Amino acid sequence: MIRHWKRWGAGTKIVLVVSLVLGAWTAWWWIDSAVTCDQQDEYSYHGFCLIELRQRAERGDNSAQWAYGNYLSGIRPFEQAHQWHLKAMHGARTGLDLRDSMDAYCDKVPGFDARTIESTMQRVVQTSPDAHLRLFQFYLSLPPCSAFNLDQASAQIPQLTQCAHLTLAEYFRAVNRERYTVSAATRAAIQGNVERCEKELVQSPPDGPHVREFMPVQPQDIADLRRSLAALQP
Amino acid sequence: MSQHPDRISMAWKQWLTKEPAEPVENGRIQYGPGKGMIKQVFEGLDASQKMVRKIATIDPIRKKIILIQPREKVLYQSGLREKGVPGYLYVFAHATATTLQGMNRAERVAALIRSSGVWNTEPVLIDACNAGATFDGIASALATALRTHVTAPTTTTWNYPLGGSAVGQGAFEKLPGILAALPMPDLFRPGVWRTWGPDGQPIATTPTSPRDTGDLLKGTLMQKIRQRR
Repeated sequence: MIRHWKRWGAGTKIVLVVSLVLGAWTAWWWIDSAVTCDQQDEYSYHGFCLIELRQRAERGDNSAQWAYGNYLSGIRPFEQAHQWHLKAMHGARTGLDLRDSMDAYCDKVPGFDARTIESTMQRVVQTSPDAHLRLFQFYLSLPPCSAFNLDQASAQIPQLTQCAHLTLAEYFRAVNRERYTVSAATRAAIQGNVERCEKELVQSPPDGPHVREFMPVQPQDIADLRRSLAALQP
Repeated sequence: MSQHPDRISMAWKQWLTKEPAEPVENGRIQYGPGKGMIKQVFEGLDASQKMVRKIATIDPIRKKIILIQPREKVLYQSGLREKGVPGYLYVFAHATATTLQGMNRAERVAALIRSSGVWNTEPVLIDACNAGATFDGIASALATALRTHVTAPTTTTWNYPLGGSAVGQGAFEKLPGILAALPMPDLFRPGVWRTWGPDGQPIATTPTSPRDTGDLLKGTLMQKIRQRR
Protein backbone atom coordinates (compact mmCIF):
# COMPACT_ATOMS: atom_id res chain seq x y z
CA MET A 1 0.00 0.00 0.00
CA ILE A 2 2.86 2.35 0.88
CA ARG A 3 4.41 1.59 -2.55
CA HIS A 4 1.20 2.78 -4.27
CA TRP A 5 0.70 5.86 -2.02
CA LYS A 6 2.73 8.21 -4.26
CA ARG A 7 0.87 7.11 -7.38
CA TRP A 8 -2.57 7.93 -5.93
CA GLY A 9 -4.17 11.32 -6.47
CA ALA A 10 -5.07 13.70 -3.68
CA GLY A 11 -8.77 12.70 -3.85
CA THR A 12 -7.99 9.02 -3.36
CA LYS A 13 -5.68 9.81 -0.44
CA ILE A 14 -8.34 11.92 1.28
CA VAL A 15 -10.96 9.18 0.81
CA LEU A 16 -8.55 6.59 2.21
CA VAL A 17 -7.62 8.68 5.26
CA VAL A 18 -11.27 9.54 5.99
CA SER A 19 -12.20 5.82 5.64
CA LEU A 20 -9.43 4.83 8.06
CA VAL A 21 -10.51 7.47 10.60
CA LEU A 22 -14.17 6.41 10.31
CA GLY A 23 -13.22 2.73 10.63
CA ALA A 24 -11.09 3.40 13.72
CA TRP A 25 -13.86 5.50 15.28
CA THR A 26 -16.45 2.76 14.61
CA ALA A 27 -14.17 0.10 16.12
CA TRP A 28 -13.54 2.30 19.16
CA TRP A 29 -17.31 2.97 19.52
CA TRP A 30 -18.10 -0.78 19.51
CA ILE A 31 -15.36 -1.64 21.98
CA ASP A 32 -16.39 1.25 24.24
CA SER A 33 -20.05 0.14 24.08
CA ALA A 34 -19.04 -3.32 25.34
CA VAL A 35 -16.60 -2.14 28.02
CA THR A 36 -18.96 0.48 29.50
CA CYS A 37 -22.01 -1.81 29.44
CA ASP A 38 -22.43 -1.88 33.23
CA GLN A 39 -22.52 1.94 33.25
CA GLN A 40 -25.20 2.25 30.58
CA ASP A 41 -28.88 2.72 31.32
CA GLU A 42 -32.12 3.22 29.42
CA TYR A 43 -30.89 6.67 28.32
CA SER A 44 -27.55 5.50 26.99
CA TYR A 45 -27.73 1.86 25.79
CA HIS A 46 -25.88 1.53 22.50
CA GLY A 47 -23.83 -0.80 20.29
CA PHE A 48 -22.86 -4.19 21.69
CA CYS A 49 -24.60 -3.58 25.00
CA LEU A 50 -27.92 -2.78 23.32
CA ILE A 51 -27.75 -5.90 21.14
CA GLU A 52 -27.01 -8.08 24.17
CA LEU A 53 -29.90 -6.49 26.10
CA ARG A 54 -32.32 -7.17 23.25
CA GLN A 55 -31.17 -10.79 23.03
CA ARG A 56 -31.70 -11.25 26.77
CA ALA A 57 -35.17 -9.71 26.45
CA GLU A 58 -36.03 -12.07 23.58
CA ARG A 59 -34.88 -15.05 25.67
CA GLY A 60 -37.44 -14.04 28.32
CA ASP A 61 -35.22 -12.36 30.93
CA ASN A 62 -37.77 -10.26 32.84
CA SER A 63 -35.47 -7.44 33.97
CA ALA A 64 -34.02 -7.17 30.45
CA GLN A 65 -37.55 -6.90 29.04
CA TRP A 66 -38.32 -3.99 31.38
CA ALA A 67 -34.97 -2.34 30.58
CA TYR A 68 -35.31 -2.80 26.81
CA GLY A 69 -38.87 -1.44 26.96
CA ASN A 70 -37.59 1.55 28.97
CA TYR A 71 -34.95 2.14 26.29
CA LEU A 72 -37.62 2.01 23.56
CA SER A 73 -39.83 4.42 25.50
CA GLY A 74 -37.41 7.14 24.40
CA ILE A 75 -38.00 6.35 20.72
CA ARG A 76 -41.17 6.97 18.73
CA PRO A 77 -43.49 5.19 18.14
CA PHE A 78 -43.86 4.22 21.81
CA GLU A 79 -46.02 1.13 21.06
CA GLN A 80 -42.88 -1.04 20.78
CA ALA A 81 -41.94 -0.11 24.35
CA HIS A 82 -45.47 -0.92 25.53
CA GLN A 83 -45.32 -4.38 23.93
CA TRP A 84 -42.10 -5.28 25.77
CA HIS A 85 -43.46 -3.95 29.04
CA LEU A 86 -46.69 -5.90 28.58
CA LYS A 87 -44.67 -9.07 28.04
CA ALA A 88 -42.60 -8.30 31.15
CA MET A 89 -45.69 -7.65 33.28
CA HIS A 90 -47.27 -10.97 32.34
CA GLY A 91 -43.99 -12.77 33.04
CA ALA A 92 -43.55 -11.22 36.51
CA ARG A 93 -42.65 -13.78 39.20
CA THR A 94 -41.19 -11.75 42.08
CA GLY A 95 -41.91 -8.45 43.76
CA LEU A 96 -39.03 -6.74 41.95
CA ASP A 97 -40.56 -7.79 38.62
CA LEU A 98 -43.53 -5.52 39.36
CA ARG A 99 -41.98 -2.36 37.95
CA ASP A 100 -43.36 1.14 38.24
CA SER A 101 -44.23 1.25 34.54
CA MET A 102 -47.32 -0.75 35.47
CA ASP A 103 -48.57 2.16 37.61
CA ALA A 104 -47.48 4.71 35.02
CA TYR A 105 -49.40 2.95 32.22
CA CYS A 106 -52.46 2.09 34.32
CA ASP A 107 -55.66 2.78 32.34
CA LYS A 108 -53.62 4.75 29.78
CA VAL A 109 -51.99 2.05 27.66
CA PRO A 110 -53.90 -0.89 26.16
CA GLY A 111 -53.29 -4.08 28.16
CA PHE A 112 -52.49 -2.16 31.34
CA ASP A 113 -56.01 -1.75 32.70
CA ALA A 114 -56.27 -1.53 36.48
CA ARG A 115 -57.89 -4.97 36.89
CA THR A 116 -55.14 -6.76 34.90
CA ILE A 117 -52.38 -5.04 36.88
CA GLU A 118 -54.13 -5.80 40.16
CA SER A 119 -54.54 -9.51 39.33
CA THR A 120 -50.86 -9.71 38.28
CA MET A 121 -49.76 -8.16 41.57
CA GLN A 122 -52.09 -10.42 43.57
CA ARG A 123 -50.65 -13.47 41.79
CA VAL A 124 -47.08 -12.41 42.58
CA VAL A 125 -47.81 -11.53 46.20
CA GLN A 126 -48.74 -15.20 46.88
CA THR A 127 -45.10 -16.22 46.48
CA SER A 128 -43.38 -12.89 47.13
CA PRO A 129 -44.84 -11.22 50.26
CA ASP A 130 -42.57 -8.16 49.84
CA ALA A 131 -44.81 -7.27 46.87
CA HIS A 132 -47.53 -6.09 49.30
CA LEU A 133 -45.72 -2.75 49.19
CA ARG A 134 -46.30 -2.61 45.42
CA LEU A 135 -50.01 -3.42 45.92
CA PHE A 136 -50.19 -0.75 48.64
CA GLN A 137 -48.70 1.79 46.23
CA PHE A 138 -50.99 0.65 43.42
CA TYR A 139 -54.15 1.19 45.49
CA LEU A 140 -53.02 4.78 46.09
CA SER A 141 -52.69 5.51 42.33
CA LEU A 142 -53.97 8.86 41.14
CA PRO A 143 -56.40 9.36 38.24
CA PRO A 144 -56.73 8.41 35.44
CA CYS A 145 -55.81 5.03 37.00
CA SER A 146 -59.00 3.60 38.51
CA ALA A 147 -57.18 1.47 41.11
CA PHE A 148 -57.46 4.05 43.91
CA ASN A 149 -59.10 2.33 46.88
CA LEU A 150 -58.32 3.30 50.47
CA ASP A 151 -60.01 0.19 51.94
CA GLN A 152 -57.76 -2.05 49.85
CA ALA A 153 -54.73 0.13 50.57
CA SER A 154 -55.42 -0.07 54.31
CA ALA A 155 -55.67 -3.87 54.06
CA GLN A 156 -52.10 -4.04 52.75
CA ILE A 157 -50.51 -2.24 55.71
CA PRO A 158 -50.51 -5.23 58.16
CA GLN A 159 -48.99 -7.38 55.39
CA LEU A 160 -45.97 -5.14 54.75
CA THR A 161 -42.60 -6.80 55.25
CA GLN A 162 -40.54 -3.61 55.04
CA CYS A 163 -40.51 -0.01 56.27
CA ALA A 164 -42.90 1.92 54.01
CA HIS A 165 -42.27 5.49 55.14
CA LEU A 166 -42.81 7.14 51.74
CA THR A 167 -45.93 5.20 50.83
CA LEU A 168 -47.39 5.72 54.29
CA ALA A 169 -46.85 9.47 53.84
CA GLU A 170 -48.70 9.16 50.51
CA TYR A 171 -51.45 7.20 52.31
CA PHE A 172 -51.85 9.96 54.93
CA ARG A 173 -52.17 12.58 52.18
CA ALA A 174 -54.90 10.49 50.51
CA VAL A 175 -56.66 9.93 53.84
CA ASN A 176 -56.74 13.69 54.50
CA ARG A 177 -57.83 14.48 50.94
CA GLU A 178 -60.67 11.97 50.99
CA ARG A 179 -61.58 12.52 54.69
CA TYR A 180 -61.29 8.76 55.11
CA THR A 181 -61.76 7.17 58.55
CA VAL A 182 -58.86 4.89 59.46
CA SER A 183 -59.84 1.91 61.61
CA ALA A 184 -58.17 1.08 64.94
CA ALA A 185 -56.66 -2.09 63.42
CA THR A 186 -55.07 -0.07 60.58
CA ARG A 187 -53.73 2.51 63.03
CA ALA A 188 -52.11 -0.33 64.99
CA ALA A 189 -50.61 -1.71 61.77
CA ILE A 190 -49.22 1.75 60.89
CA GLN A 191 -47.77 1.99 64.41
CA GLY A 192 -46.08 -1.40 63.84
CA ASN A 193 -44.61 -0.24 60.54
CA VAL A 194 -43.30 2.99 62.08
CA GLU A 195 -41.53 0.89 64.73
CA ARG A 196 -40.02 -1.20 61.95
CA CYS A 197 -38.80 2.03 60.31
CA GLU A 198 -37.16 3.08 63.58
CA LYS A 199 -35.24 -0.20 63.64
CA GLU A 200 -34.19 0.30 60.00
CA LEU A 201 -32.98 3.78 60.88
CA VAL A 202 -30.63 2.29 63.47
CA GLN A 203 -29.57 -0.63 61.31
CA SER A 204 -30.21 -0.57 57.56
CA PRO A 205 -31.73 -3.79 56.22
CA PRO A 206 -29.33 -5.91 54.17
CA ASP A 207 -29.34 -5.41 50.40
CA GLY A 208 -31.35 -8.16 48.78
CA PRO A 209 -33.75 -8.86 45.93
CA HIS A 210 -36.74 -7.43 47.78
CA VAL A 211 -39.12 -4.57 47.15
CA ARG A 212 -38.34 -1.53 49.30
CA GLU A 213 -38.83 2.22 49.28
CA PHE A 214 -36.59 4.03 46.80
CA MET A 215 -35.09 6.36 49.42
CA PRO A 216 -33.79 5.32 52.86
CA VAL A 217 -35.77 6.40 55.92
CA GLN A 218 -34.64 9.57 57.72
CA PRO A 219 -35.42 10.70 61.32
CA GLN A 220 -37.64 13.47 59.90
CA ASP A 221 -39.76 10.85 58.06
CA ILE A 222 -40.46 9.04 61.32
CA ALA A 223 -41.33 12.27 63.12
CA ASP A 224 -43.74 13.18 60.28
CA LEU A 225 -45.37 9.72 60.36
CA ARG A 226 -45.81 9.87 64.13
CA ARG A 227 -47.43 13.31 63.81
CA SER A 228 -49.78 12.11 61.06
CA LEU A 229 -50.67 9.01 63.07
CA ALA A 230 -51.39 11.07 66.18
CA ALA A 231 -53.70 13.32 64.14
CA LEU A 232 -55.78 10.22 63.22
CA GLN A 233 -56.66 9.41 66.82
CA PRO A 234 -60.42 9.68 67.35
CA MET B 1 -31.96 12.67 27.58
CA SER B 2 -30.19 15.97 27.03
CA GLN B 3 -27.67 15.85 24.22
CA HIS B 4 -24.24 17.25 24.84
CA PRO B 5 -21.71 17.82 22.04
CA ASP B 6 -18.85 16.93 24.37
CA ARG B 7 -20.39 13.57 25.33
CA ILE B 8 -18.33 11.44 22.94
CA SER B 9 -15.02 13.02 23.88
CA MET B 10 -15.88 12.57 27.57
CA ALA B 11 -16.11 8.80 27.18
CA TRP B 12 -12.40 8.35 26.53
CA LYS B 13 -11.50 11.00 29.09
CA GLN B 14 -13.28 8.92 31.72
CA TRP B 15 -11.17 5.93 30.71
CA LEU B 16 -8.00 7.85 31.31
CA THR B 17 -8.81 9.96 34.35
CA LYS B 18 -10.49 9.11 37.60
CA GLU B 19 -11.34 12.13 39.66
CA PRO B 20 -12.31 11.61 43.30
CA ALA B 21 -15.97 11.99 44.23
CA GLU B 22 -17.05 15.31 45.69
CA PRO B 23 -16.53 15.40 49.47
CA VAL B 24 -19.88 15.28 51.27
CA GLU B 25 -20.35 15.97 54.99
CA ASN B 26 -23.72 16.13 56.74
CA GLY B 27 -25.38 15.67 53.35
CA ARG B 28 -23.75 18.77 51.80
CA ILE B 29 -20.92 19.12 49.28
CA GLN B 30 -17.91 20.69 51.00
CA TYR B 31 -16.05 22.24 48.07
CA GLY B 32 -15.91 22.32 44.27
CA PRO B 33 -18.51 23.65 41.81
CA GLY B 34 -21.36 22.13 43.82
CA LYS B 35 -20.24 23.56 47.19
CA GLY B 36 -23.11 23.97 49.65
CA MET B 37 -25.53 21.84 47.63
CA ILE B 38 -27.39 18.94 49.24
CA LYS B 39 -26.82 15.34 48.14
CA GLN B 40 -29.64 12.85 48.43
CA VAL B 41 -29.43 9.20 47.42
CA PHE B 42 -32.26 7.28 45.80
CA GLU B 43 -32.43 3.84 44.18
CA GLY B 44 -33.53 2.25 40.96
CA LEU B 45 -33.25 -1.19 39.38
CA ASP B 46 -30.90 -1.80 36.47
CA ALA B 47 -31.20 -4.29 33.59
CA SER B 48 -29.86 -7.09 35.80
CA GLN B 49 -32.34 -6.53 38.65
CA LYS B 50 -29.57 -4.93 40.74
CA MET B 51 -30.25 -1.84 42.83
CA VAL B 52 -28.40 1.19 41.47
CA ARG B 53 -27.87 4.12 43.80
CA LYS B 54 -28.57 7.41 42.06
CA ILE B 55 -27.90 10.94 43.21
CA ALA B 56 -30.11 14.01 43.56
CA THR B 57 -28.07 17.20 43.89
CA ILE B 58 -30.22 19.93 45.39
CA ASP B 59 -29.37 23.63 45.03
CA PRO B 60 -31.41 25.43 47.69
CA ILE B 61 -30.46 28.90 46.43
CA ARG B 62 -31.37 28.44 42.77
CA LYS B 63 -34.18 25.96 43.59
CA LYS B 64 -32.70 23.38 41.29
CA ILE B 65 -32.51 19.57 41.43
CA ILE B 66 -30.09 17.59 39.26
CA LEU B 67 -30.79 13.85 38.99
CA ILE B 68 -27.96 11.61 37.80
CA GLN B 69 -26.58 8.11 37.92
CA PRO B 70 -23.07 7.90 39.40
CA ARG B 71 -20.43 8.63 36.71
CA GLU B 72 -22.75 10.84 34.63
CA LYS B 73 -20.24 13.64 34.88
CA VAL B 74 -21.29 15.45 31.71
CA LEU B 75 -24.96 15.60 32.67
CA TYR B 76 -24.00 16.71 36.18
CA GLN B 77 -21.74 19.49 34.93
CA SER B 78 -24.42 20.69 32.52
CA GLY B 79 -26.89 20.75 35.40
CA LEU B 80 -24.48 22.74 37.57
CA ARG B 81 -24.12 25.34 34.80
CA GLU B 82 -27.86 25.99 34.73
CA LYS B 83 -28.89 28.97 36.84
CA GLY B 84 -32.47 27.88 37.44
CA VAL B 85 -35.55 30.01 36.73
CA PRO B 86 -36.94 32.38 39.37
CA GLY B 87 -40.45 31.35 40.37
CA TYR B 88 -39.94 27.73 39.32
CA LEU B 89 -38.46 24.57 40.76
CA TYR B 90 -35.96 23.56 38.07
CA VAL B 91 -35.40 19.81 37.53
CA PHE B 92 -32.51 18.71 35.31
CA ALA B 93 -32.20 15.02 34.36
CA HIS B 94 -32.36 12.35 31.70
CA ALA B 95 -35.94 11.47 30.79
CA THR B 96 -38.29 9.82 28.36
CA ALA B 97 -41.99 10.45 27.87
CA THR B 98 -42.74 8.21 30.85
CA THR B 99 -39.62 8.32 33.05
CA LEU B 100 -37.48 10.85 34.87
CA GLN B 101 -34.04 9.44 35.73
CA GLY B 102 -35.57 5.96 35.67
CA MET B 103 -38.59 6.84 37.83
CA ASN B 104 -41.88 5.91 36.14
CA ARG B 105 -44.09 6.47 39.11
CA ALA B 106 -44.76 10.21 39.44
CA GLU B 107 -45.32 9.80 43.19
CA ARG B 108 -41.64 8.84 43.48
CA VAL B 109 -40.53 12.03 41.75
CA ALA B 110 -43.01 13.95 43.92
CA ALA B 111 -41.60 12.32 47.09
CA LEU B 112 -38.09 13.27 46.04
CA ILE B 113 -39.14 16.87 45.34
CA ARG B 114 -41.01 17.13 48.65
CA SER B 115 -38.11 15.71 50.64
CA SER B 116 -35.65 18.10 48.92
CA GLY B 117 -36.93 20.87 51.17
CA VAL B 118 -36.68 23.47 48.37
CA TRP B 119 -40.18 23.15 46.89
CA ASN B 120 -42.95 25.40 48.15
CA THR B 121 -45.79 24.55 45.72
CA GLU B 122 -44.26 26.64 42.91
CA PRO B 123 -44.51 25.43 39.27
CA VAL B 124 -41.94 22.86 38.13
CA LEU B 125 -39.81 23.22 35.00
CA ILE B 126 -38.44 19.86 33.82
CA ASP B 127 -35.39 20.39 31.60
CA ALA B 128 -35.07 16.81 30.35
CA CYS B 129 -35.47 15.23 26.92
CA ASN B 130 -38.96 14.18 25.86
CA ALA B 131 -40.41 14.58 29.38
CA GLY B 132 -43.41 16.29 27.80
CA ALA B 133 -43.58 14.17 24.64
CA THR B 134 -47.01 12.72 25.41
CA PHE B 135 -50.09 14.38 26.89
CA ASP B 136 -50.40 11.75 29.65
CA GLY B 137 -46.74 11.01 30.43
CA ILE B 138 -44.47 11.75 33.39
CA ALA B 139 -44.98 15.56 33.29
CA SER B 140 -48.76 15.22 33.40
CA ALA B 141 -48.57 12.64 36.23
CA LEU B 142 -46.16 14.82 38.20
CA ALA B 143 -48.51 17.82 37.88
CA THR B 144 -51.32 15.66 39.31
CA ALA B 145 -49.13 14.26 42.12
CA LEU B 146 -47.82 17.68 43.21
CA ARG B 147 -51.00 19.56 42.29
CA THR B 148 -49.00 22.28 40.61
CA HIS B 149 -48.10 23.44 37.08
CA VAL B 150 -45.40 21.47 35.27
CA THR B 151 -43.60 22.54 32.06
CA ALA B 152 -41.55 20.09 29.98
CA PRO B 153 -40.15 19.79 26.42
CA THR B 154 -41.83 17.62 23.79
CA THR B 155 -38.53 16.56 22.14
CA THR B 156 -34.84 16.06 22.88
CA THR B 157 -33.24 19.14 24.46
CA TRP B 158 -29.86 20.52 23.43
CA ASN B 159 -27.65 22.44 25.81
CA TYR B 160 -24.46 23.80 24.25
CA PRO B 161 -22.14 25.02 26.97
CA LEU B 162 -19.66 26.86 24.64
CA GLY B 163 -17.21 27.30 27.48
CA GLY B 164 -19.53 29.02 29.94
CA SER B 165 -23.11 28.79 31.06
CA ALA B 166 -25.39 26.92 28.70
CA VAL B 167 -26.73 29.13 25.92
CA GLY B 168 -30.11 28.39 24.45
CA GLN B 169 -32.28 25.60 25.65
CA GLY B 170 -33.51 24.35 22.33
CA ALA B 171 -35.99 21.53 21.98
CA PHE B 172 -35.48 19.77 18.66
CA GLU B 173 -35.90 16.21 17.40
CA LYS B 174 -32.77 14.18 16.70
CA LEU B 175 -31.62 13.76 13.09
CA PRO B 176 -33.50 11.01 11.23
CA GLY B 177 -32.37 7.37 10.94
CA ILE B 178 -28.76 6.42 11.59
CA LEU B 179 -27.83 10.10 11.85
CA ALA B 180 -29.65 10.19 15.19
CA ALA B 181 -26.43 9.00 16.83
CA LEU B 182 -24.78 12.32 15.94
CA PRO B 183 -24.91 15.00 18.66
CA MET B 184 -26.76 17.45 16.40
CA PRO B 185 -30.37 18.66 16.45
CA ASP B 186 -32.68 18.48 13.44
CA LEU B 187 -33.34 22.19 13.09
CA PHE B 188 -36.24 21.49 10.71
CA ARG B 189 -38.16 19.59 13.42
CA PRO B 190 -38.40 21.88 16.46
CA GLY B 191 -40.21 20.84 19.63
CA VAL B 192 -42.19 22.99 22.03
CA TRP B 193 -42.43 23.44 25.81
CA ARG B 194 -45.77 22.23 27.08
CA THR B 195 -47.39 23.15 30.42
CA TRP B 196 -49.81 20.98 32.42
CA GLY B 197 -52.20 22.29 35.05
CA PRO B 198 -52.52 20.86 38.58
CA ASP B 199 -55.20 18.47 37.29
CA GLY B 200 -52.71 16.92 34.86
CA GLN B 201 -54.34 18.46 31.77
CA PRO B 202 -52.20 20.28 29.17
CA ILE B 203 -53.03 23.99 29.13
CA ALA B 204 -50.37 25.83 27.09
CA THR B 205 -47.38 25.50 24.78
CA THR B 206 -44.51 27.90 24.07
CA PRO B 207 -41.79 27.62 21.40
CA THR B 208 -39.01 28.23 23.95
CA SER B 209 -38.37 27.34 27.56
CA PRO B 210 -39.57 29.70 30.32
CA ARG B 211 -35.88 30.00 31.20
CA ASP B 212 -35.05 31.60 27.87
CA THR B 213 -38.02 33.87 27.33
CA GLY B 214 -39.95 34.09 30.57
CA ASP B 215 -43.11 33.84 28.47
CA LEU B 216 -45.06 31.95 31.07
CA LEU B 217 -43.41 33.79 33.91
CA LYS B 218 -44.50 37.21 32.66
CA GLY B 219 -47.66 36.16 30.88
CA THR B 220 -51.25 35.94 31.98
CA LEU B 221 -50.89 32.25 32.83
CA MET B 222 -48.30 33.01 35.51
CA GLN B 223 -50.52 35.75 36.95
CA LYS B 224 -53.32 33.20 37.26
CA ILE B 225 -50.96 30.71 38.94
CA ARG B 226 -49.87 33.36 41.46
CA GLN B 227 -53.47 34.30 42.20
CA ARG B 228 -54.34 30.67 42.95
CA ARG B 229 -51.38 30.20 45.33
